[in-house]
Amino acid sequence: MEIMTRDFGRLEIAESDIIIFKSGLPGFENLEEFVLLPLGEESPFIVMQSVDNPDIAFVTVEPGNLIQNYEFEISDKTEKELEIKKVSDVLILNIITLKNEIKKSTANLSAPIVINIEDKLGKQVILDDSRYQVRYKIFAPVEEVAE
Amino acid sequence: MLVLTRKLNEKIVIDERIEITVVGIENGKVQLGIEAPQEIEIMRKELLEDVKEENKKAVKNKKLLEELNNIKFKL
Repeated sequence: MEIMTRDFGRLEIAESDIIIFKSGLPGFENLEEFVLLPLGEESPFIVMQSVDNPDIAFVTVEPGNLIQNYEFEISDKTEKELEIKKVSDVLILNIITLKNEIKKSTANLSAPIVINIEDKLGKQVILDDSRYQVRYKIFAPVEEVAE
Repeated sequence: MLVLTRKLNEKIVIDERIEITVVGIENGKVQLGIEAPQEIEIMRKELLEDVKEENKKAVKNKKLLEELNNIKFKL
């Protein structure tokens, strides 16, 4: 099927690539279908695009790029909802909020997106964990190039 | 909205399966103990609101995408 995307124009996607978020995402409770579109071959960023609304897309990244030892417990409820059978089927993504001054961009470590990549089911879970912030600064200051 | 007054260590029960106990009252703070079945999600409301707001901000990123490739992560 063909969908309109925010960042890549019209795209042909396979229906089997659509990830279902049964209760949407906080703030976007009515959007249940998303596809993952890598930003580029070399890029760690993945755009999570709404199938229903071309304007809604999130820039995401796997937490391993951002922080060491990111860990949380997936609740029994989430495990059931997402029909998770094995850990290797789980993909974790964190949403990035880009700022005009790009260095000030942040990642939401408090609300990771948990995806069962095998069964294409997803959910944004909210961790009440003081270690992980909603706005975690992700970028190192760019080093000045010596002349 | 139902408003109840409870003293320290007193409880309320919701739907015969969620029990909330006042476990501490100190300096304008109330500490609550909540016992509920696992399928009940419990979180501080301001955290949920914060995540909603952040999600709404995060979708306004379009024009900044190209710049991303020029930046190094902290790690």
